Amino acid sequence: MDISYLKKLIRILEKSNVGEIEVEEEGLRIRISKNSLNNIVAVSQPAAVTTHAAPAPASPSAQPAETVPPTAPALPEIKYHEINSPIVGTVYRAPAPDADPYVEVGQIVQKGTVLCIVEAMKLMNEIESDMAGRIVKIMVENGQPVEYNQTLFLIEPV
Amino acid sequence: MTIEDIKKHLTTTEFGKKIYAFESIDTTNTYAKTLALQGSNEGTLVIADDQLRGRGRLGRTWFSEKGKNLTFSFIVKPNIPPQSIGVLSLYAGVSVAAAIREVTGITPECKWPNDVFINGKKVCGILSEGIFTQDKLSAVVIGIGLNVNQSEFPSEIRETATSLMLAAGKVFDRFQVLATVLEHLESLYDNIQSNRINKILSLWNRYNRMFGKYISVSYQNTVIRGIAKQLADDGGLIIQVNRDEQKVMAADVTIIKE
Repeated sequence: MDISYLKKLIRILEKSNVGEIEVEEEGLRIRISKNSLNNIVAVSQPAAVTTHAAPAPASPSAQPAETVPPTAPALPEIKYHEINSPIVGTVYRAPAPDADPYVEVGQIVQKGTVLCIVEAMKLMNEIESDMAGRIVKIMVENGQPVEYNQTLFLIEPV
Repeated sequence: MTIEDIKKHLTTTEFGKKIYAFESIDTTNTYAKTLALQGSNEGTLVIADDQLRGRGRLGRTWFSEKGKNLTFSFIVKPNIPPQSIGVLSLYAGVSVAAAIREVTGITPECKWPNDVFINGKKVCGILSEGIFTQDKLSAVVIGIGLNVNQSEFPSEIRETATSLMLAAGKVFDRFQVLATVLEHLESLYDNIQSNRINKILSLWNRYNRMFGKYISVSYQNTVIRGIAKQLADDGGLIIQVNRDEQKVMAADVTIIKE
């Protein structure tokens, strides 16, 4: 995510009636808010950055951010599609130890694309994507034990 | 092999009712998975004289001499809660063990979760694959490689592999052995369908060769050592490591000390 992209987001926010924008890309989540500093938002990603929109340009036509009513409907939070483990077991991200992983972050997958294997007692279960989309985040490491319903992947619909 | 060769020994009603027989195939599991996805019935059997890409867990190869052994897969649609799905591995292993005992008179040993050994050498390997649709288990393909009449093994597994013939000193009718294996698979399957998992566990315990022994358990990057204690209710293996007990659900297990 580069600085010009951030500036672009800020411009979009300034011109809009919404209070804040949140985007997540490759594990990095950024929330840009028109509200003042007393409203810093919590971010959960380790590499996350919180930034606030620059003050609106002092042009007479610009609508001051403060006039946005506090009750203005917020943007619905971006919700990625979760792929969860249907069983308790061990995750394998590749078909064999020396093979390439089934999928990587950023990759576009189709409905039915195999994302990983979860093994329970030598019963191997290929976990497929149930929608077309882009892999936004891989929540598990190769060889990691997982619980029933534990999230394995986050997918952004495309 | 022909379907008639196979059918003339069969005593089962559902298992093997529909048979796909091949002289040669990539892997019977892959074919059976495709059939399962297309809606094939429970008990559908895929069998081959030769597998070009016979495989085991994590991409390992399964060696089998053409025409000497049994390499087959069958489809089940078990009504089993997802947390107990691993019991299917115990079920398959113990069914083969019971069949081996019936045809050879030798009592084999089960190694967690699904290997079958005779005198410490592997005679049968099993690889099962689950098919989930919308988070629901729709079918499981159970692939079984059972060494029947093979007498020579590649040098890298010569010390660790055996066959019914090597163990019992005589040649077996492969299809008679298959019929006996399917018979045990079908009769034990009732316990899966009616959720009598304890039945499977207690039968498996009769063939188990691990409990009380010092074992090494290797995960992806970790090795733990301890005493094999017992099966957990879901079929997992409980190991005593120093004073703690740990449950293992997926690992390679090696017996270090008898």
